[in-house]
Amino acid sequence: MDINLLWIPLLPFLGFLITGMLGKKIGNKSVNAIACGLPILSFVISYAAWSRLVYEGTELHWSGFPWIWIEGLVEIPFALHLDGIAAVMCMVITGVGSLIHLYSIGYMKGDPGYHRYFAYLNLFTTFMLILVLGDNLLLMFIGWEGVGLCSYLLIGFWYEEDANCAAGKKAFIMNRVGDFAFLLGIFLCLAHFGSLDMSTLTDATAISALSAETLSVPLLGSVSVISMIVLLLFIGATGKSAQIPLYVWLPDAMAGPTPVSALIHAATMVTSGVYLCCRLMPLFEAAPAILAIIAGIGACTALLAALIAFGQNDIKKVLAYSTVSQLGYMFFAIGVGAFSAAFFHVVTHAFFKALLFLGSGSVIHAMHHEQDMRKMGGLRKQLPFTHLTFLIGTLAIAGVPPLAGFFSKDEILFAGYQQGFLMGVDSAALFWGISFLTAGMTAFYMIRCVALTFWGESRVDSSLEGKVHEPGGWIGFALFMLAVASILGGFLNVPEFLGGHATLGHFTGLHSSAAAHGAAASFSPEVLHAAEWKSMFLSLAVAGSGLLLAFYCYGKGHSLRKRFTESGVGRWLCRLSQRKFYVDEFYATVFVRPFETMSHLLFILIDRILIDGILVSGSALLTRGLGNWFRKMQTGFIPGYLLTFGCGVLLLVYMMLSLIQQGGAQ
Amino acid sequence: MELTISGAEILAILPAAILVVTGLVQLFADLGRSAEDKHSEKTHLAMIGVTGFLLAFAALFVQGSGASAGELYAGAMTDDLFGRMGAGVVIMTGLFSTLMAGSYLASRGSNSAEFTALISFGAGSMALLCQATNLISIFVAIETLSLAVYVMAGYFKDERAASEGAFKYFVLGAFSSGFLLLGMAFIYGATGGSVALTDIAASNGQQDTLFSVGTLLVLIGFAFKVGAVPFHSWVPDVYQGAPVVAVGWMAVAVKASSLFCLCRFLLFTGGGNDLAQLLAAISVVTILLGNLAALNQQSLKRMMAYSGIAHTGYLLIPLVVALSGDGSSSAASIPFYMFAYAATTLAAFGVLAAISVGSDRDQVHDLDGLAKNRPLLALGFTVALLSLAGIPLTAGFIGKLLILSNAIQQGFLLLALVGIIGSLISVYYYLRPVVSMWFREPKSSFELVPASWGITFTVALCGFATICFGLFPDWLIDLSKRSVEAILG
Amino acid sequence: MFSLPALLYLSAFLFSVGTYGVLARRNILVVLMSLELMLNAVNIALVSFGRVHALTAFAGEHSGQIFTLMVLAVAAAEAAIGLSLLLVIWRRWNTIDLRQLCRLNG
Repeated sequence: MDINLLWIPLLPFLGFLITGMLGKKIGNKSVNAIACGLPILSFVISYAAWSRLVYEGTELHWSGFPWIWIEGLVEIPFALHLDGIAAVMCMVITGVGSLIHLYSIGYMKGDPGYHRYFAYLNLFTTFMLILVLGDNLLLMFIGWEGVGLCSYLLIGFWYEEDANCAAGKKAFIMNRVGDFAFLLGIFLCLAHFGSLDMSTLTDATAISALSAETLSVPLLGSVSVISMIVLLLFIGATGKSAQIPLYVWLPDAMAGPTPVSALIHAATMVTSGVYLCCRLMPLFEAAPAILAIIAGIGACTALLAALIAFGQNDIKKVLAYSTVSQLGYMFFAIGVGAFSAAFFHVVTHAFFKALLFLGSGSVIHAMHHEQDMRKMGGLRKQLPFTHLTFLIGTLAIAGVPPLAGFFSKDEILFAGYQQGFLMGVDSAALFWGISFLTAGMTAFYMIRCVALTFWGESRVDSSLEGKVHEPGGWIGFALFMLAVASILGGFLNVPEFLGGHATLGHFTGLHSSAAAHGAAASFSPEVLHAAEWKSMFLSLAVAGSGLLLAFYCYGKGHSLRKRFTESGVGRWLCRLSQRKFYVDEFYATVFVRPFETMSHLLFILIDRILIDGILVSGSALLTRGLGNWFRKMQTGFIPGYLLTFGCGVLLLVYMMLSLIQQGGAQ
Repeated sequence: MELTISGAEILAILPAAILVVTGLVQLFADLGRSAEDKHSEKTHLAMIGVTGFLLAFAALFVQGSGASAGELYAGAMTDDLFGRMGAGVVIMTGLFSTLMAGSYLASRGSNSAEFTALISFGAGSMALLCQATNLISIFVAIETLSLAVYVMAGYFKDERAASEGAFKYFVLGAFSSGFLLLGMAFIYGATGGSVALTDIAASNGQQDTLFSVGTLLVLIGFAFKVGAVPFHSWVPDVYQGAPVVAVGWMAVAVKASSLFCLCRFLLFTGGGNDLAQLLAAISVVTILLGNLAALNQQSLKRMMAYSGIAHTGYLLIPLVVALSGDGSSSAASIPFYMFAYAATTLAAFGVLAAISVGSDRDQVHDLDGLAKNRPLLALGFTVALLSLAGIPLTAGFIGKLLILSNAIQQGFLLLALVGIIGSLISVYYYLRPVVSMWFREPKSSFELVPASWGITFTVALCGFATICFGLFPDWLIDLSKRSVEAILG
Repeated sequence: MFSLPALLYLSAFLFSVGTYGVLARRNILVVLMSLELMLNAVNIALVSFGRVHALTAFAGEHSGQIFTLMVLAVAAAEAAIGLSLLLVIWRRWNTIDLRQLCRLNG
């Protein structure tokens, strides 16, 4: 059977059109069927395409049509391509996406914007699939912008509240900063590669042909073209994937409905920056200096977000910062050359983070939209199933074997360990240390989250007493499926020293470490395996101690925690974490306020006074006045008309004669 | 001198001849009936007219197959692509005007064969004017078409406004004819007795002051016909007084045929830089005055009149560029612009005719809520107005783009700038009716007689053509270029 | 036999008289007459040019004279239209004063 790739993004798009335009008329039942059915169908096609790839080894391609086409200058087709990475991404997007669609049926029940919600969700799926399947950077950029748009629309979905709209705008504007760099990167690619096709951009000969070329950049001096492209693309990725310095939008984006947070702001969209790096792996590997920066940014983001997560009381905020932190991990992995590990973590993270978000959504739903963990506690009794699945997700993200997070995180940490200690790169060693610490912190704050929400004594508002029930139906189904995935997801890529085959890594063709292709096989398998065991032991130890410490702090006796928070340094640290290290305030003073003041000034000066006052009103008055004057000249008197005519003739003849005389005089 | 008439000569005059015969048939077909049924629509007149116009249009293509490019009738007329395109505009305009005339006139109780016959006769002389190549034939053609139009302007002879407008038109027209004729006499004298344009171009009298002044006077005669400032005074008054259908007819056909002839005349005689400068001055003043005076008009007919004046100004720009030495490439935008203008203007006047059927409505606020009552008409009018304003995706946009880009390429920046400023101003008054139609509530007293099929058909087809020329302009631009190259040989 | 300049002066004089009449007179009838005068003044010029140029290259065709005949015919038709308009105006407005026709303006 021939599979046309176009169907994969087209089906959700049809869903968008139908639910968006006819949603009100066809009723919620039909909306459910269409909006969830079409992504599921899309999943089936993705699965078929994936199995073609697995069993026949054919990478599917849809050559599409010429899109932006100036013969010989710019030739950009509208084409889709499905390789190993794209196939896995498609499955994740449509698979997890479909589950979240189903979950939303329960979660969004009775919302006045029901069909609008599903239309946006379908549109998001479409754009995300275009992003993943697009065979050139520009098409990818379309998807990139499209998911940004849908994210904006869904964050501000409950637009009656100003805060939600503000969060939407913040996300959009932050993303624009990154997108601008991304666009510059695209232009640079077009200028130097002469093409935006993925095949050209990842072509070893094309890259090596460019490796000697340099650009002179203001402030940076002479930079190699490849490095500049990679840097710009990475800045684009920091916007979408919420890395320092552009991460602040993601926690605010939690203003949207919780399934949206699960789908867009945890499982799929925010990982598109990582996907970009993986798709362009040869290009990124050709710029080792930038890779070091990426590793640093990733590790620092992971640490900072984990620190902030300690002090958050909003259950979704904790998860949001944990997402930022995990994304930091992925970029750290890319920075140390472990593209395979980064991508593996994208997949497992999609499972357990979607699970955690949906679990929190289930709690929030049950608590009638209460998100503050200080008003929860003891929910284990009322919500046993949610508690169980949430706990699975927590253990997965904390890196408890054999859950999904364990394998992927272990691989990332090992890649850092390998580069830092086996290959002796100092910066990598430092960043490994940061990531290593963060692993423990992750375990700690996640258990804190579980403890505050589900364990201990109930702090639930008395008005909700007896009203808290386990949401059933589709919500339970989605939780169950994702819990299974979170348990088993790690087995996709069991490393060889544990007896696995690194299946995912081989399938996607991504490198598992810088060593794998560069300084390469200089290490004997024995040395490597020993290091792997060591690294695994270390990460287990740190995760375990994080877990234990958290159990101890949030268990029965509160003394340690109390003593810490009441000590001077402790209080200060708590405040710092709670206020998110004052980054928002910093941005507000340095960027937003000066900019606002300036634009206000310009608004008064240029817009009000110069344009509105002088140019618009002034010129309108002038034209109106002239127009009326001309009208009054039309008196209606025939002698007047005749006289105008005669004078016109005389004047023109006079001008003609004087022109002729001038010409003659010369 | 040969007295026999060659086949090529017959073919050349065939469209005009068909049109004249059509007019005669219309007159005879209505013999003896006109007195009692002036209120009936008289579809048979429209049918005869449509048949005649279609035949004449077909005859244009028959001409196309002949290889006759030489001088016919001892140099009085020619048969080239340029002339045929001019005749094509005129014939299509006549066809649509005939279609619209019946129901409109019947609603005013004055439907008789004279009106449609006058359209046919006028179209005949206009077709001749587009093909005329010597001073005598130009003069005769321009006078006969003017006479036909004077009568049409005063067609509602029981209305004061109509007869006042017609008389103004007549007096000023005759006055301008005097100057036109004087100019021709000057040229005749200065070039040693030549009347044929080729002879004039070949003679050595071009340097003569008498010749220059003569050319200027001829230009003035044409400037009057197309309504260029300061010879424009008649336009608003005549447009307001005359029957809407007649206004649509003369706004397009008189302007088109005069401009085609003027273009041919100037390309032949040259006239040089001095004339180009004067023409540029006329063009600037025309654009500005037309647009500014249209700004505050409440009457749609007067607004269209001033808008027509402004468009004359735009149309003079390529002539200026061509006269200053660029030659054919800029003049090629004139045929295209005329086609675009014809489709657009006919759609607009179709709507004006539709709303003034039964009563004399022509105020902007009479259009309030038209989109609710007559969506098709409102859509047609909107397309027409957007095209007149030069909004993209319409024919008017392409026309203006051609003219202005050519002017800029040849270094006439000031002229282009004035054109752009004029267009900007024009958006205001073109959008006012659009706002009325789509965003205002219909008046309670608003009662529309259903538009006749002829008017609806015209609005729909011309609106469609406006969009088509805007989306697929290439073939028409190509045709225009070839036609101008054909004159220059 | 008059010389060409003399004939042209005559023509120019008549044309000026006609122009003056059109511009200055308020009686429609006189204006119509003046318009005829303008056309016929040009006719004189045409005929005299035609006679002078009879000896030059484009001779033999008598185009000036032919032109004049054409102008005469046109002028006759024009006069007919003018007079009929005059009649219409007389019936509706009861005046032949040019200045009264000023309803349409702006």
